[in-house]
Amino acid sequence: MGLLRSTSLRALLLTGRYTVHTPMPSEDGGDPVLITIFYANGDILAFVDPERLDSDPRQAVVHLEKIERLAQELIVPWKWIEWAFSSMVTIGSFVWLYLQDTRFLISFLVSAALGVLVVGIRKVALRLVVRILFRIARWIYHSVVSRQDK
Amino acid sequence: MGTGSKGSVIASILDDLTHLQIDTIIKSGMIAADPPEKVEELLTGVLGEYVRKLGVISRRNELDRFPRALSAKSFLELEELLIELQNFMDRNRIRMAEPDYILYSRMVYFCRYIKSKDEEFAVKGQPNVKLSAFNLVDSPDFELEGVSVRDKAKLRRYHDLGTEKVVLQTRIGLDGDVVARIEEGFANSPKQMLLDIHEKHTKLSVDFWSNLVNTVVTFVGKLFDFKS
Repeated sequence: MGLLRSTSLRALLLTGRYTVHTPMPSEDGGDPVLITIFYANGDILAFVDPERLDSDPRQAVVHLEKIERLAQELIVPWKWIEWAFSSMVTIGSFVWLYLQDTRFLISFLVSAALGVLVVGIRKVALRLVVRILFRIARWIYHSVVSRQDK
Repeated sequence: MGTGSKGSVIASILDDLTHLQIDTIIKSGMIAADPPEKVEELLTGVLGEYVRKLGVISRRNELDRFPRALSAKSFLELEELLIELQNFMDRNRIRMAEPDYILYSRMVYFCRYIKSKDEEFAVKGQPNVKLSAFNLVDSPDFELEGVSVRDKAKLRRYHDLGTEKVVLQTRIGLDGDVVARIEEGFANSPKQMLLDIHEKHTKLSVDFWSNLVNTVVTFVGKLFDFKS
């Protein structure tokens, strides 16, 4: 399940599409009866071979189950975004520290500590970032407006 | 990029973001091959498929008297061929069968799309050649530059769709509009299993889209929490 999740999401992010075959080429080596291509913008293209489906209606049930699983995998929870943010802080701080001529071990330890801290208080940290982004946006807006007023 | 061009790009992106389209196609003899990774192969594949299908459409609609060979090595040649074919049909009062005309229109649309990208896409090492006029058939190793991720996705989509006939189509807009199209032949003898599969796909697409919207709403919600 975990592997499937990463596969479908990764394929969507990297190639912009994810394909579900029934049967899978690896399952019986045969050609598919049903193909669903899911695109990153939410569009779907489905191909059905009606003659082969008539001779083996079980394939439709299997395919519908796969689609049901895909639907669950593609619902990215808010929590996932919080974790992604925490990881970004950890990696970002490490790269930044290392580029500041900080020694590798110190960079690693500080960013790891920061990462652990952010994981622990990720909700608060995320809110902090949202607030900073909001302040920056407001500052840009006001500086543009005041420049136009002059 | 001019203002008009920017405007059309923004309109096209907005249309993409605010509409979902679910197509179901009946196709016999499918293979589990992945589409080519390279844009150049996608383009060559689409051109080859369109030219092949044009031959089939021609035979099916008794267009044997059309005085030109049905072949094209570039999208510009294909577009010219399609226009000539239309003029020939008009002169001889021939009307194509409806499903074939839909495919014909798709080919014309795609040729014009490629032509509209002549300023953006460039054939590497050939600055004076426009992509729409470029001989794709006799140049197996050509390379394209300037193809955006969005264009790549669109080309892949057209390659996936090929010349297949869509029997069920649902298009859902953000404004609440839902358009459902059913091919006449299928409507006369529908298969429940296909309808179930189409319904499932529609639900998947709507759920995915609503999850994206919910994520944005949660983010904006947090922003306003702090603003207040």
